[in-house]
Amino acid sequence: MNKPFIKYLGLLPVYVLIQVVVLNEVLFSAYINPFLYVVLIISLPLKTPKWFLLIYAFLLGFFIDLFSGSLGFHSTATILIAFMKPFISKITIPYNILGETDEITLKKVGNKAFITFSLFLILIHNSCLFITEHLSVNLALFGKIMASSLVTLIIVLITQLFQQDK
Amino acid sequence: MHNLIRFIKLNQFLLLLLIIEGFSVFLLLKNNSYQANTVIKCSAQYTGFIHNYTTSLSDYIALKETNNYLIEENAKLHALLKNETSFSDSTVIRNKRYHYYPAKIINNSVSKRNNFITLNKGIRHGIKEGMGVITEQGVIGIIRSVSQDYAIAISLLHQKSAIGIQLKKNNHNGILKWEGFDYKSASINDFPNHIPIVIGDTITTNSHSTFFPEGVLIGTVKNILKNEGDGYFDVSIRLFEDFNQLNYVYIIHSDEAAEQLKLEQTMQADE
Repeated sequence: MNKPFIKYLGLLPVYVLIQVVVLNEVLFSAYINPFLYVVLIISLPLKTPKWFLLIYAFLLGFFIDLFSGSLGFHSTATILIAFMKPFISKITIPYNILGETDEITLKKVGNKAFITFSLFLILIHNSCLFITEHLSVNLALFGKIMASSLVTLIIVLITQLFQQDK
Repeated sequence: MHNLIRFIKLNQFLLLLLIIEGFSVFLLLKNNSYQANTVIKCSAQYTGFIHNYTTSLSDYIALKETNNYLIEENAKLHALLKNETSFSDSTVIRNKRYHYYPAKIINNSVSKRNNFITLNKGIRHGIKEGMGVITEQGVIGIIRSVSQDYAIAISLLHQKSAIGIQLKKNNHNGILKWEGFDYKSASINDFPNHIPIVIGDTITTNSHSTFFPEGVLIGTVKNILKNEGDGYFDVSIRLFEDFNQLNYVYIIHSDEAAEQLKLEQTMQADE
């Protein structure tokens, strides 16, 4: 049970650096800003203790926030998806498909379930993040949420290609 | 008591969520004030160190453009120097003298609603909070937080940025804000409709500011919309500076401006 903890704590700085050094620097367009680090929350095993999930989400968001010079935006959004994750997994991932410590990956849960599951989480994350950032709801913001979510989903799917079989 | 413990055990997930989410929202709200909070201040030193490494790559790529930019600026300064010596008149009023500190941008964003800029100068180089950041082509932002070696500035591309501006041709004042999304343009809301303003007019900083000298170029008028409700104009401005390609900037500071600010603050405290 301790193994995934250590693995995920080790992955945290890696994904924070990828996000801060690469993805935040590359400007695809003013409407697109992908947030790859949510893949950590997506793939954490379902049976992870909930306190670990929440605190992990907070740390992840907090470090991203530190590098962007503003506190609270990413951590609020990331904690929200960590909280929603158990509920969303119930409606999107088939029951009994995962073992006790299995991570949620494309190969384990299948294409359809993985894409709907991650799209839900990414949409919630991006909506929460951009709405707290802009403090308004309009068509341009809606476009930004949609465009960023789709690009994030594509990058998340790319990371799944590198997952090793166990 | 027994019931309370049972309640906490049953709802521990929800309670923990409320505590952590509450803490993050607290950070979010507290961090919105102009003065930086201590967490940002302490972390700037370390995050700056990492950003410093990552910019060394983009530096090489941008060398050619940087050279061109410096040559052009040199030429401008030479011209200015000549004019300055030949033209001295008692009617020229210079109320503020500015110190210029060159600095390099090591981290910058343009795609967020609230953008910040990290600069490679800090307390060690004499930088303080509240100094202005400009380039030859425009206003960039205001220093918000300083560590030993690095400084973080609020970009003009920020929800809370409000720069006092004037029309270059007739000195009418307004306030420049950024509406988000497009980093090449900003806007002035509630511009009085009796002032003659046409597309293509140049906008510069005004003389009231304690951060920037008068007459720093900002942009040109791109579009004028008449506000149906109150008859004011909403003016959109095309910025001269391309915020996505910023590289070298000047941090500026004036002792007279600091004095002005102090005096104005005592007045506000009295009222």
